[in-house]
Amino acid sequence: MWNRSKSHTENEKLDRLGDSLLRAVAASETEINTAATSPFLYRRILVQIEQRRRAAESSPWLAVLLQMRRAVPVVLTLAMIALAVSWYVPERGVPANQLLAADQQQVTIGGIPALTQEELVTSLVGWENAKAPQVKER
Amino acid sequence: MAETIEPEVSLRGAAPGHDPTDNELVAAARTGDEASFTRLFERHRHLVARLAYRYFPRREQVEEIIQESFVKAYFALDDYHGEGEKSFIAWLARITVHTCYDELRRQKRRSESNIGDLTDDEAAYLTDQLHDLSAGGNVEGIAVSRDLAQKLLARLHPDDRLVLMLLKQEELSIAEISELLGWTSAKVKMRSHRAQHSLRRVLRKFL
Repeated sequence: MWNRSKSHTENEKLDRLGDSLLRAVAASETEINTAATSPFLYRRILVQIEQRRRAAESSPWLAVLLQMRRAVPVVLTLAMIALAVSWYVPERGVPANQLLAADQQQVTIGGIPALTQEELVTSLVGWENAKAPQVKER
Repeated sequence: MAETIEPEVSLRGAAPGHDPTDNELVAAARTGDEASFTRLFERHRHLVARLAYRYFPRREQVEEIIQESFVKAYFALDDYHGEGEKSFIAWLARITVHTCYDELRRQKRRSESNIGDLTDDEAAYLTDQLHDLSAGGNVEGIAVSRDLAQKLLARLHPDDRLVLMLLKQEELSIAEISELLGWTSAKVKMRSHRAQHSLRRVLRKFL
């Protein structure tokens, strides 16, 4: 309790000292006047204005680049949204009649569509049927 | 020798003897009347210098701030929509404070200013004074030179220093600082709280 009170008093003193520091940095009127009426200060301002104006006129692309830089966050956000949408939507977006059943899924081998399981069975049956009469004939 | 500026033309079409308001001068300067901008500069250069001296101790730095602030103001004249009598002053002060803030941050980033380094004498003096203070001495009795005060304040984060100056020195309210800096009131409150702690920490090192 006593420590807390001591710390509080110390903080108060430090705050008051801090305030006096802040007051101490204020310049005198003479100094302010000297800086404000410094020789050629206004000339330097006019030169700066002219230089910047010329720079802006001679390189309009700079202004375009600055505008583009401002647009970067917006473009990035849109790109992320587009990416997120393309990530989630395909499964929902494809019509049901175009979806292949698990056993009908088309497999490609070296870029050439392979036979589906059903096609394979059908062709095997067809091959068996064609083969059976030949066996009978023998 | 101080530079004297004699505006060739005061305001296009202004009646002789009429002292134009800031807003009238701004309107004329926007149309390219350089003399009007010259008058704005003459009127308010002391205000800008006074504000700049709060953050920078050297005259060259203050002149740089005056220069940069007026150049920025010139190119931002189209954005000025003030209507009140003091609007231009508030607007220019805002530009100046932002310019000071940018410069403080630039210095901090590049660590180009060693102003925070105290000489041995200064450190010894401060330690003695603060020991007296902790022993029950009077705060008001401590004479802190401007140079020493600048060095101590240079140890603060630019945000902290800015907020403390505006709060304690300019005596602005939280709402006014919030408007001036474009920060939320909550951020200004939080910053001022932190700034107070930081300043205590800086001073406590010498206790």
